[in-house]
Amino acid sequence: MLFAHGFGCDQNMWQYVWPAFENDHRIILFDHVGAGRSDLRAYDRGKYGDLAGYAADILEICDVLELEDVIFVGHSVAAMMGVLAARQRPDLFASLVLVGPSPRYIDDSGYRGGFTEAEIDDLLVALENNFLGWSAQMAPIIMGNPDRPELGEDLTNSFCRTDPNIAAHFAGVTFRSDNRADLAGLDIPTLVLQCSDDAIAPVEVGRYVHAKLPNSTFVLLDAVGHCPNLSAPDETVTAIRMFL
Amino acid sequence: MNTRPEATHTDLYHRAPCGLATIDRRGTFLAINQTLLEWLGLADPSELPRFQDLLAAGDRIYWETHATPLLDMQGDIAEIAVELITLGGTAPVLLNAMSAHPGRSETRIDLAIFPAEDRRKYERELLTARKLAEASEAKTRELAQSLQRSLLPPVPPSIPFVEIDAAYRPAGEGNEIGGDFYDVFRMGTDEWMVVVGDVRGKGASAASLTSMMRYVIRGAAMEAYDMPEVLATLNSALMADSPGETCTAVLVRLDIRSKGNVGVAVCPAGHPLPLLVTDAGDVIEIGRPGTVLGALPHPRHEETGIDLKPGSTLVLFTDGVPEGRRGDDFFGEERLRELLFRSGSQPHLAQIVADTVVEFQNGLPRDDIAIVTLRCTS
Repeated sequence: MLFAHGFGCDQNMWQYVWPAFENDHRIILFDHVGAGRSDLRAYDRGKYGDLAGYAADILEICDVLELEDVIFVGHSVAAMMGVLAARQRPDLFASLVLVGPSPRYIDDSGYRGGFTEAEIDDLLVALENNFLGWSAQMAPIIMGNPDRPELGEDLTNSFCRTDPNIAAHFAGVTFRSDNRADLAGLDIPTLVLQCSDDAIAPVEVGRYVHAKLPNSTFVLLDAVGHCPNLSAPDETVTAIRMFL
Repeated sequence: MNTRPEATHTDLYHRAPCGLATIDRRGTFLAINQTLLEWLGLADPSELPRFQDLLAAGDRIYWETHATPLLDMQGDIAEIAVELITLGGTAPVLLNAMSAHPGRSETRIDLAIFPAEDRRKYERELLTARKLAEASEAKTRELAQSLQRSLLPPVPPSIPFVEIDAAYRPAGEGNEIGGDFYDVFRMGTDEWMVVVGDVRGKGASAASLTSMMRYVIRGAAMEAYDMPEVLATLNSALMADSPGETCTAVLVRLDIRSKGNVGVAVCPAGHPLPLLVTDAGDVIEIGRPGTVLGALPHPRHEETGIDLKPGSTLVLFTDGVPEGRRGDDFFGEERLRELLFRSGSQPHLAQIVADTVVEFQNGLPRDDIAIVTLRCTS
C-alpha cells in the first residue's frame, strides 16, 4: 500500500490510517519533493510544474522498491497524481483509493470545481501571510542541513511547513490543474472516498470522478472537511477495508 | 471586592480582550464570547454560521489544508494569520487553537482570536520590502555574474596540440564577484601563457584588482619571456597601486614545438603548486613555491621546466580546491590526488574537479574555485 499525501502537509497526514493495514500489507509512506523532510534542493520548478512530475516520482518509488500489485492511496491532489501514474503503468497497480479527489478545482463552463481564479490568488496571499517568519528562521535550519532533518523537528507547525516559494508554486500547480481528460479510459478498480461537506473537493466533484471512472466505487463518508484521514480515521479505514 | 469568583470567570470569558470560542470538528460553534460576537457584528450566537464560513476563500483553503490537519496531528496551532468576515468587511486576526482530542471526530476545538490590523499592515510592508530586497539582490547577482564573466575568458583559446579545460565557481550562491581568476593568451608565435590567480577579498575591490592583474600580466608577458620578470613587474605594480593588497598566482608558459612535443614552464608565486597527471596515472607536484605578490619589494620566483608528454595533464587550481570544507573536514590534497588518479584521463577534467569539490561542500562552496587543465594531445 503506497500512501501519497496532498497539498499542505506531509506523510504524517496518514498517521491514523496506515497502522490499520500494516499487518496484512507492506506500507510505503513518502513526502513529495518540496514537502516534509524531502531534500528541498531536488525541487525543480520545471519538473514539478504540473502533476506529471509527481506521477513520475510515484512510478520511480514503485520501481526502486520493486513494488507489484500496488494499492495506491492518494489524498487530495495526490489522488490525481495516482491517476496519472496508473494511466502510464496500469500493470503496476492493483487498485486506487482516491480520498477527496478533484480533477479540476476552478469552475469551467459546464463544470463546477468549487473555486474561481480569484479565490486561488487569495490562497497565495493566505499562504504568504502565514510564512512571514520562514525564510529568516527556518531556511538555515532546514536547507543548511539536508543530511540532518531531525534539526527541523521542533519547529512550530513543521508538518505543514516548507519553503514559501515552493508552497506557493505547489499551490498554483495544484489548484490550477485540469486533469479531467486523464480520467477517461482508466479501468483499474478505484474507490472514490468523498466527505459530506468538503470545501476543497465538493460532493459533486467526487461524483464527477466516479462517473468518469467506470470501474469505480463511490463512498460518501459521514465525515466533513477535506481530510477524513485525520478527522474521521476509523470511518476512512473501514471504507478502505470494505473496498479491498 | 465581594464579587463571587464564578462571576469573575464568566465576566472574564465574555469581556476578555480577545475573541474566545469553542467549535466542534465540523466547525459548528458550541460557545462564543461577547468580544468575538461583537467583532463579528452579530447580536446573537444563533446567527453564527460554521467557523470556516467566517473565513475568506483563500484562508478557508488554508484552514482546510494546513490548520485543521495540524490540529488533528499535533493538537494545537499558534499564530495562524487569517481574515475573518465581519459585518463591516473583513478583519485580519491571529488565531491560536487547541483540539481536546486530536484525530477524533468528536473533538472540541478551543479558539483564541486576536485582532491584528496594525500588525498585518506592518507585515505587508515588510513583505513588500523583502520582495524589493530580493529583486535588488537578484539584480546585484546578475551584475556580479556578468562582471565575473568579463574577467574570465569566455572560451579558452585553442592552442595547437593542447586541450584546455577551465572551470570557475564563486563561493556561496554566486551573489558576489570572487577573487579567483584565470587567463589564457598568446605570447608569441609558438608560446602561450596560462595564469591562475587568487586575490584577497570579494566584490568590487576584488574585481578591480583582478582586472589590473590581468592587464599587467598580459602587458609584461609581451615584453619578457622569463616569467620571474613578469611576476616582478606585477609585484611592483601591486605595491605601487594597491599597497597592502597581496595575491597569489601561478604562471605557466607553453612552448609548442610540434605535435606531442610541448614544453611547459611553471612559475608559482605563493600559490598551490600545479599537479602533473602522467599518462601512467602518477600525480606529481611541479614547481617551487615563490613569494606571495605585493608583500616584499624583492620577491623570489623560479621557473621549473618540464616536457608535457602526450596523454599527460597539468592541473592548475586555487586554494578553494584543497581547502573546500565540509564541517571540520577539508577536501584536501589527498582527495584531489585520488580524484586525479581516477579521472585524470577523462575529458572536461576541470569541470569534474569543480563539481566534485562543490558536491563535497553540499553545493555551497565556502571559497572560490578556479581550475585549468592542460592536456597534451597524442
